[in-house]
Amino acid sequence: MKKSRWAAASAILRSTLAIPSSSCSLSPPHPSIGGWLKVQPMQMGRFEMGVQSFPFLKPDKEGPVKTIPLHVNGRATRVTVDDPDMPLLYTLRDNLGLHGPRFGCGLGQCGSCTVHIDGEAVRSCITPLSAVGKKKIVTLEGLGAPDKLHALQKAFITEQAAQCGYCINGMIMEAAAFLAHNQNPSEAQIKRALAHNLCRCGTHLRIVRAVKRAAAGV
Amino acid sequence: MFSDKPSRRDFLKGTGILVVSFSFPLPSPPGTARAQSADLSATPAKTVALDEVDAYLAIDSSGRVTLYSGKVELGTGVRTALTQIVAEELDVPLTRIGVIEGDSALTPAQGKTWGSLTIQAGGVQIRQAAATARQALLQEAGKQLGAPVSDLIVEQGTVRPRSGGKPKTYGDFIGGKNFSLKLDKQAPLKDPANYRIVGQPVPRNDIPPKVTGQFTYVHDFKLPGMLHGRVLRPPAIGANLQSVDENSVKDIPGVVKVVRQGNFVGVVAESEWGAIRAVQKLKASWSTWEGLPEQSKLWEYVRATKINKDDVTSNIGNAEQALEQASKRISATYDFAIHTHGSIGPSCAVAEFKDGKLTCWSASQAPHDLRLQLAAMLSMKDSDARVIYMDGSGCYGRNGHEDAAADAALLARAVDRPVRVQWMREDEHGCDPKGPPTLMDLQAGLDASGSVVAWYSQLYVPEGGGGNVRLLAAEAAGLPFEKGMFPGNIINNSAIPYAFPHVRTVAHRLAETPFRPSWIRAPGRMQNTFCNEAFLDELAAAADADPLEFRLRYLNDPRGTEVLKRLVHLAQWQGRSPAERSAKQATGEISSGRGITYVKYELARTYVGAVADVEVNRTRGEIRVKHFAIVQDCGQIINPDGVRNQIEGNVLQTVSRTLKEELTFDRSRVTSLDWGSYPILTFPDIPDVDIDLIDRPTEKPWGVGEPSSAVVPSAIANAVFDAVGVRLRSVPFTPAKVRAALQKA
Repeated sequence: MKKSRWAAASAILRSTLAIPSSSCSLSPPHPSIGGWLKVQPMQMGRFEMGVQSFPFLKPDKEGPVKTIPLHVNGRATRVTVDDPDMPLLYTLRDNLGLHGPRFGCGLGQCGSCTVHIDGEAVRSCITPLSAVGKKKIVTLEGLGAPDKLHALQKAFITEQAAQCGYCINGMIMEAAAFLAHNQNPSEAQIKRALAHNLCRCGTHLRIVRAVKRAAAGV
Repeated sequence: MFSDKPSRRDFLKGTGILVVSFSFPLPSPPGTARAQSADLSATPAKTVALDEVDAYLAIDSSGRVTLYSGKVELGTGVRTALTQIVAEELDVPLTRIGVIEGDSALTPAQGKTWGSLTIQAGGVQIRQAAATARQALLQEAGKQLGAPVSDLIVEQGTVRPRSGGKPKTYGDFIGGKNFSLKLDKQAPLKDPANYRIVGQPVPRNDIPPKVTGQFTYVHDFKLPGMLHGRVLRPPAIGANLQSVDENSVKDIPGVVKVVRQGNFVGVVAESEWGAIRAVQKLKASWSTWEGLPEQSKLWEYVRATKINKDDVTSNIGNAEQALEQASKRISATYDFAIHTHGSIGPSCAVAEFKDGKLTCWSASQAPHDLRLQLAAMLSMKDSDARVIYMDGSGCYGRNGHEDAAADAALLARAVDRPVRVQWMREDEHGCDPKGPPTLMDLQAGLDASGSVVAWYSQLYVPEGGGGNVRLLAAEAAGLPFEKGMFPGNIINNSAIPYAFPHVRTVAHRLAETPFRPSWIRAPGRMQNTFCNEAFLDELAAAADADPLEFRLRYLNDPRGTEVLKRLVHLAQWQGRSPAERSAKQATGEISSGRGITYVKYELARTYVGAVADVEVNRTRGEIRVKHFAIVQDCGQIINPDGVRNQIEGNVLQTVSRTLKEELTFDRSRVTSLDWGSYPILTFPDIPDVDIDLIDRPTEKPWGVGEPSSAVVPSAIANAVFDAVGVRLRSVPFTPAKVRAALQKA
């Protein structure tokens, strides 16, 4: 039931996105957007492409409150929501009080909301809660703790790789998923891996240095 | 000598404010446990008077110091730098200092955190407060220890007589008491030769919690019983609300109220997602409005706008007459697009009314001013409103934080419960105030020997300076707000640092501009420096002169000259003859070039010289900025790593603004409402940055948050000329513009 509903929602999304968008210049969105949703990456540049335009996010009909099991940061938990298709981000932030993932765009464009789902970097702002199932979610808090820092967190501190710090969650989560499969990346590879994570303060140079430092294990 | 006062604990009880201190590097975990609502009546009076030491500093009985700063941490590292200043001047370890920032009830109103003035103005006030405090503490210590002040040794917040004896802490002398002292301008400052903390690259203490998800941004702040609000934006900027169908959201669980007041309409819901769904589903009808100019005719519109007055920013000799007599005349028009702040996290605020009093938690760069704006909007007494700063996403000027605060305040008042509003992405891109369009006409005259004899520029920018940008909610709801435009002091740096015999620079101040204006990083200084430094490069080329040597020829400023001379070494600058340039430009699809540029910020402070290295793809029209070399003299450096972080950020952000950014709009509203339609620089396109800092410990500390951004557009423009021989005079330098320029050449 859930599966077929999700498939139907995906089909709607796919057909929505087949409509050509405005002719703005686009960089290809993050692979996880297509990968996770199993649809083509969303087009950007239309006002209508706000959350409003995700037909699958609207439940078939307004149902009662639902309790959904989740596996977050190594622990099984349950969340009670009135809309199972709410993006995962709001569950993490508002139901579970996890503030690593942050709301940046709600469009899968900026990466501030990135979490790991089964080890893959995923944009939680466009991932419906109902699509997570039994998969394992890890947030920045689960990656490492103040007394047990992940190598990337340590490297970001050493390199002082933050200004306002709002995007840093996404930078670390994206880089962690990348480094898990690329132990000895070149600088160009690191830049490509982070190409869909936006930073406005201009901390990119420090972020690249931090990822290199973590990759080198120094 | 010190007077009694309530304890620091009493001040902070129940405020939910964040005390960031080095001794507790990780702030308390986020959530409601820490975040109780503020209760003004329970907060004892603490002076916030700008001339009182107690406004800035408190020392408890254990010797812990609290710095109360009206300037706030916007991501630039100033919280750490200000702490270094206090630690140095008081001789207290960094770990013994906590900081409370931007609480209108607890911190002095040191002015907005803008204009690269936090260290230069705010830090200097705080330093004087610390020096005054130290002087008083030592006098008291001398009395209690029975030794003259000159015989006291101060170390790590302890005092002991040189002759020996048990050290006492500052807390033993002042703990639990007020200083009750005016800031003393004569209080001796520490000799910079003895600095141990100022000038060091002290790591920022907010970075560990920010990289572990433990930090509480305003976006994370919660109050018990807090609801979530969203505001419905009109489909056209000047549209009037005709009707709202509340039934359209009745099926959404948890909707508490649809709030309507004039053209302001918002929803409040129990959950954030409920509020988002509701505002998307809410049906409303609006009048049509098409009052914006056509984007394709923006510059005609600017030129046709009524001029309310002229500001003559410099006038030496008789430029117009000298132009007529010059043997060679050159003229050009430059323009700079409308930009958005583009904060990665949309603006956010939480507001609560209690007993008729408002408390608002906000990441505003101007909490004290916001408090006055909110009080005015709600017709409250100023003393009944309080704004408490919490870190937000970087704002780079006056973005939407203040507007989100007004949204939250209106909604909270309507439902009589605390309300959190976080803007959506289209709110931030669409509704934040914009950096206004800038147009400059320049003319110059050379004599037969290639010397500049006259410079005449005319700038077209909206009138107004700094101030309190009107709140969207106040305007929409028909509530009181301060009238007028406040684009920032955007005529700064329209005058030039070069000693030409005849100079006239005029700013035509326009009666209107298409979008609500405000300041974005280096407002006006960036645009004007672009126009001036790129045009100067045109003059150097016309005079067959090396652009670096050409600048030095007209610069009568030893510190500026040193910056440029050090730039020669840092960038390995070598002059290029016109023949060499032509030869170089003749070959290949991809041409490389380098451009030099210089600014003395506001002609009064921080000096920056820059060399940009670029590659231009002639076929595609794409510019790739490969490298920037920056030399900067900002006087005394408080934290060199913080300064470097700001320079790197300035360069990368401004490369983005220069190459990519331009607001798009139709006749009704902004159409660049996300990162697809308003793209910014991404990792694969970032340049490397080399930095040479000139530290002058005995000079005044000047600002660093903006100056190095001002040089970026002209450095790129000049490098593109070096690469392919065309002048780019319109920011952003899009591939289409580059191709068009190449075709015309």
